[in-house]
Amino acid sequence: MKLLNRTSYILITTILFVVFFGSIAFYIILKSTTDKEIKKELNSRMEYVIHEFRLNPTVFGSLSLPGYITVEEGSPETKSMPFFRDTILLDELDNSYKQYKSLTADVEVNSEFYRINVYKSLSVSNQLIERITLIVTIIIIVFILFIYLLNRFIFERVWADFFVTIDKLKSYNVDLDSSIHFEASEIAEFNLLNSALNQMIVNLREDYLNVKEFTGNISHEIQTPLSIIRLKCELLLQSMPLSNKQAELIRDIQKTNSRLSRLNKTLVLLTKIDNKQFPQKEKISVDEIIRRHLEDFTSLATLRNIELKYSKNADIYVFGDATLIDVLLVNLIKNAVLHNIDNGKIFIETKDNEIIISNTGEEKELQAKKIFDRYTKFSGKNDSLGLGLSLVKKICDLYRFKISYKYENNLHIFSLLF
Amino acid sequence: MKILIVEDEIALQESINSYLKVEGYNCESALTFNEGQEKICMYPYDCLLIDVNLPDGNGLDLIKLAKSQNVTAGIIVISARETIDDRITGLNFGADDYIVKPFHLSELNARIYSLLRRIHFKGEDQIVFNEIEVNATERLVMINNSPLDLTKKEYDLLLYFLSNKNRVLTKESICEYLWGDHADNAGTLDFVYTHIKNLRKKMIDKGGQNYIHTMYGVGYKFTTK
Repeated sequence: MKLLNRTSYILITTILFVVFFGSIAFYIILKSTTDKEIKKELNSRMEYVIHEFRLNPTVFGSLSLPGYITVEEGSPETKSMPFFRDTILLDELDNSYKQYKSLTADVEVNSEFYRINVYKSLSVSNQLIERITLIVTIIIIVFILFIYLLNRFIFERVWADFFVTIDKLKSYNVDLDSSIHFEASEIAEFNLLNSALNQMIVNLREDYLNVKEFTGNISHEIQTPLSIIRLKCELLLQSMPLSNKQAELIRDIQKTNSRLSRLNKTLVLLTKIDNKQFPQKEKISVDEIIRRHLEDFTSLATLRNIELKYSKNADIYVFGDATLIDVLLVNLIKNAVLHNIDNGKIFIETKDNEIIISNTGEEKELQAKKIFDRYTKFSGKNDSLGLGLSLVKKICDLYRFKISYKYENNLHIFSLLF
Repeated sequence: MKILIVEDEIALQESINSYLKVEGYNCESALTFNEGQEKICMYPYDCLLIDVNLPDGNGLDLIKLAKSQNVTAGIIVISARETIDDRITGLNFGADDYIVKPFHLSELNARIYSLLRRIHFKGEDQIVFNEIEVNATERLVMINNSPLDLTKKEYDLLLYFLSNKNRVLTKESICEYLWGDHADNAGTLDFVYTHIKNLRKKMIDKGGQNYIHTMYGVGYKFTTK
């Protein structure tokens, strides 16, 4: 829910709530006040009538004016205290029934009992109450509308700077912009927000650049000592005579060294992908990449009498970083060779927007869920780092390619949908 | 043959130096960009080995400098960077070859050997070793004047051995030389044996000597002894 709607909603429901109960109270108070006034008036009128009646009973004895005053004969048995009554009388002028309030009093004049009723029409006061209620309601509705519009207006005025800040944040590129220049706002809170954001951006960018520099340098910084170890081992190996045992030890050092070096390269690559350090995108032909490596892979495959067949049914072009696309395809084909069996088969097929690489291998389905995890090794091959497929997955995620694995007809099938 | 090694890491530079000296090269070294710049301008070299990452400059600028000075030396870029872009940049700047850290000395040696042959024997790039004759331009191998039919990998392997005679070559280094990027394919190690067996057999069949000796547990050595 938008902030504006939220505040309007709260404001209006609160007002409606207050207005509802307020108008009920208003109505009750108004009603009881007019009631009191009417009763007061009836009382004073009755006093006046009785007073006049006592002075000159004959005048009023037979007098009766419907809607104003009536005098009937009473009896001592029915004599009671004066009481009020609501009643409806026929107005003969416009032939309609109207509401009246009446006061009835019994009086004794010259040992005769009379019952006097005085009436007061309620139609005027009722009309007044209705009018007042209507006017108040209209005022309230106008008031609510006004509040709503005012709230909207204030919102747009007050929050304008906030949306400027949001727009600036959206267009911020951590790689290019060192900080964001926010215009000073009239509102202190937004200035506070802007300065906090700027502080955060400066810190974030520093971290980002540090990580970027670190990953950029780590390759060099780690490869150099590894290179030194490798070269020293090689020199040591040439320094004859060496016993078989010594030579083997040197070779073991070299092997471990190579492994460390490959591990470093792969982890740096993974980190770089995570840090989105491959912003370049160019049009790359999948066929071209496959053909570039096909010869090497064919020669590797032939050595184990593995049949490698490449059928190109579609010209696939993808947009991405040349190095990454290369790593992606090479890793998939390499796995097909590496985890194959002697006299096995590899089929690489392109169609529409898809490349399918299927290979024979261990006759057991791999766990599709774990297959792309880091350091997952299904083969007992010690030299494998277990990072190849997680690298593949990472590159696929980066470019939103879909990679899937299935095991069918004794074939391990990887399908890559661009 | 005079080689200049521009490399800031002393241990690396010394190792390269001592390996290449045995091959009969006359090596000089520069530890900084400035020193490299000075030496390239002052002395003639046959080959320049240039590390891209130098403390006081970019090695690629040294290539530019060498090219602007019309230096005829072959240039090999040593790079720790991985991306295809970096390699292409090196070559575009005028380098003849590149090698990525960590490399094997035997591989560097083979590349220098091949580069120098290309520069000095234009059109007639030949290697002769006893009864073996290699025409590197046409990729032809003759043994006792009869042609030897080799696969591409076997040919590369033979050239690698001829470039590193009397050296112990580990399976790993052979692997990396033959397969480059795909050397980390663990399966390749076993294939080295197959390739060597085939090469050895083909050479002996043509009446050649068996020069490839197995060093148990380590690798191979191409030697007359």
